[in-house]
Amino acid sequence: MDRARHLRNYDLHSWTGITLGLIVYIVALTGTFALFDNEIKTWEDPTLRVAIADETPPINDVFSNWVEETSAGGMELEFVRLNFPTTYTPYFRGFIQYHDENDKHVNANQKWHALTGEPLAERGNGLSYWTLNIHRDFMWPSFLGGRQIGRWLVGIIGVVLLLAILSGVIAHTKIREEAYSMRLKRSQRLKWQDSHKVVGLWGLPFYTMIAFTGAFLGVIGLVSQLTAAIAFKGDIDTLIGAVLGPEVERTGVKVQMLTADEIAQMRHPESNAAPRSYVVRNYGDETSEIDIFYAPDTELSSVEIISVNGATGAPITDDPFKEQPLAGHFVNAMSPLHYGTYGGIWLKLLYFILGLSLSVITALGSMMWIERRKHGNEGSKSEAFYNRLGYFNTGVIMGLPVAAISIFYLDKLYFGAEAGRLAATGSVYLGVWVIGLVYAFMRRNDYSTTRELLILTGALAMGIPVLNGVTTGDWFIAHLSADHSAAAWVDLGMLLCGVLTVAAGYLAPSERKTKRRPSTKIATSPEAAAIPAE
Amino acid sequence: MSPLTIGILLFVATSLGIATWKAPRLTSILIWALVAAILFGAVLLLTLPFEFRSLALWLSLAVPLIWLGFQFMCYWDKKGWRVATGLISISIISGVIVAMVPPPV
Repeated sequence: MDRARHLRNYDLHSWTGITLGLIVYIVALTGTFALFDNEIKTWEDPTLRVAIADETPPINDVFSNWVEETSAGGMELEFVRLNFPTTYTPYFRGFIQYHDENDKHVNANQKWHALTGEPLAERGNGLSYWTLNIHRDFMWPSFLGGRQIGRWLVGIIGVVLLLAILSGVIAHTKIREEAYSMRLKRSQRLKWQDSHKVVGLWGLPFYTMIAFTGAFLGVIGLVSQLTAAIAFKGDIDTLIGAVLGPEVERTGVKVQMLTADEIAQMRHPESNAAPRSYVVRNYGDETSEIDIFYAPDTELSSVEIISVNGATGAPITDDPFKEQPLAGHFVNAMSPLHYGTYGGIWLKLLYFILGLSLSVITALGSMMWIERRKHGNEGSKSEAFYNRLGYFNTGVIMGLPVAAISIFYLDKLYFGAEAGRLAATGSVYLGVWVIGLVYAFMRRNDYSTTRELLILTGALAMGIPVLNGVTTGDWFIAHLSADHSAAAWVDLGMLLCGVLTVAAGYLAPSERKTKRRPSTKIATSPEAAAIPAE
Repeated sequence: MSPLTIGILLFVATSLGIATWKAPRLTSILIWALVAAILFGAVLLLTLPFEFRSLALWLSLAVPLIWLGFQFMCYWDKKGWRVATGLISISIISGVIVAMVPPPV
C-alpha cells in the first residue's frame, strides 16, 4: 500500500475512533450490562424469584374476562396476546390493542400470578429497563425525536465501529507480529498501544460480529425500510403486503375461539416444546388466526412460530407468507447473536468478557490519541487544551461504570411512587455520571481519577450482595442452587467483578511516570506527524 | 411546491454543493455514502430477478454493508473529487432507475 493511502486509512481509523470512540465505549459498556437483562430483572423484583410449575395452570377464564371487560366487547380488537410463565417471567401477561369509541388505538396489559391467576400489581420500570434500553437507544428523549432516533443512532455507531475495525485491520500491516507484542516494561503509551492492538486483534471476530449485528438491529429501521420505501415510491402499505402478506379482512361472522388453556396444550410437533406466547388477529371472527410462539428448535433463532386457525386450531399450511425463507433465518439470528442468548450463561459470560474488552480497546484508543498529542509530537493545540480533553475523556469513561452500578442501589432504596421509578433511575444514572465528570476536572490528574473511580466502582459492586440481602432477606449463598437462582448469581457476579475491579484500581498507577512534551509542537510535516508511534 | 419548500431545497442543495467542493471526502463519508447506499439498494430491490420477500430480507442484511463499503472507499481512493463524483453518480443513476422501474408487485 502506498504511503499516502496508508496515511489516509490511518487517519480514518484515528478520527472515527476519536470522534465517536466515546459513544462506541458507552454502547459497548452498557451492552455488557444489557446482556444480563433477564437476570437483573429477577434481581430487581423479588416477586419474580419463584419456581414455575411444569404444567401451565388454567388461565382462560381470567384472561378472556379481562379481554372482554377492557375492550368493552372486544369487537374492535386489533390483536390479543398472552405470554405464558417462563423462568425469567414467572407470570401470565396479557396485551391487547383495540379501537376506542373515538377510533383511537388503545393498548392495555395485565399480569397474573403464575399459580393462582390473581392479578399482579405493576412494578414501575427501573433498573433493568434502563440498563437494557440505554444500550439499545440511549433512552433518547421524546423532545429530541424519541426512542426510534436513539435506536438509529446506536445502529449508526455499529456501522462506525465496523468502519473502525476495517480501517484498523488495514492500518496494521504487521498483524501477526502485533498479535503477540506486549511490551509491558516500556512506556505507559506503548503498553496502551500494545494492549489496544493485541486485544483488538484477538477479539476481531467477536467485535466484527457484534458491530454488524448491532448495526443491523439499529439501522434496519432506517436504511432498509427507507430503501424499500423508495423502491415502492412511498407506498408503504403495498410494501408491507409484499413482505408480510396481505392483511385478512374480518367478515363479521362470529366464531368460538380456541381457549388460552387449549392453546397452552398445543405442543410443538417436532420439539414438543410448550408455547411461550400467542398472538390472535381478528379475534372472535371466522378469519381469526393465531400465531403460537415456541422456544426455537435451533437456538440461533429468536423464536419459532406456528400459525393456526383461531377457531379450529388447524395449522395454516397453504400460506407462502408463513414459510420462513433462508434469509429470514439469518435475519432472525441477529438478535440471539448480538445478545448471546443461544448458549446459556457461560456464553453470556464470554460475551461479557469480550464486550468489556471492546470497551477497554475504545477507551485505550481515545486515551492514546490524547496522550500522543499531549506528550508526543502530534499535537497542534496547547497543553491546557489536551489536559481538559483528557479530564473529559476520563470523566466520561470512568464515571459510566459508577453510574451503572449506582442504579442498583437506587432500585433497592427507592421509596417513591412506582410511576416515578424510571425517572428517578435516569436522574441518578445521569447525575452520578456527571459527578464523575466533574470529579475528573476537579482532580486534574487522569491517572488518579481512573484509579479512584475504579476502586469506587469495585467497592459499590461488592456492596450489591449486601444490599440485596439486607433489603430482601435473600442472601445469595442460600439461593445459588435454588430453582430461581438468577438473582443469587447476579450477587455473586457483582461480588467477583467488584473484587477484580478494586484489585485493578489498586494496581493502577496514580500518576504518569515521565512528563515530557517537546517545545516544538509540530513535527516536520503533517504527514510525518500522523504516522503512529510504533 | 411552495416557494418556501423550493427555497429550503435550494439552500440544502447549495450547502451540499459547497461542502462537497470544499471537503469531498468528508461530505462523501457523512452524506453521499448513505444516499448512494439507500438508492443503490432500492435499485437492487427493483431489478434483481429473485423472489421479492427473500430479496428484501437479504438486502436488509446487505445495505448496511454497502453503506460501509462506500464509506470505506471515501478514504481509499487517491482522488477526493473522484469519490464524490462517483457516489453522486451512483445516486443519480439509481434515482433515475428507481423513478423508471415500477414496484415489483
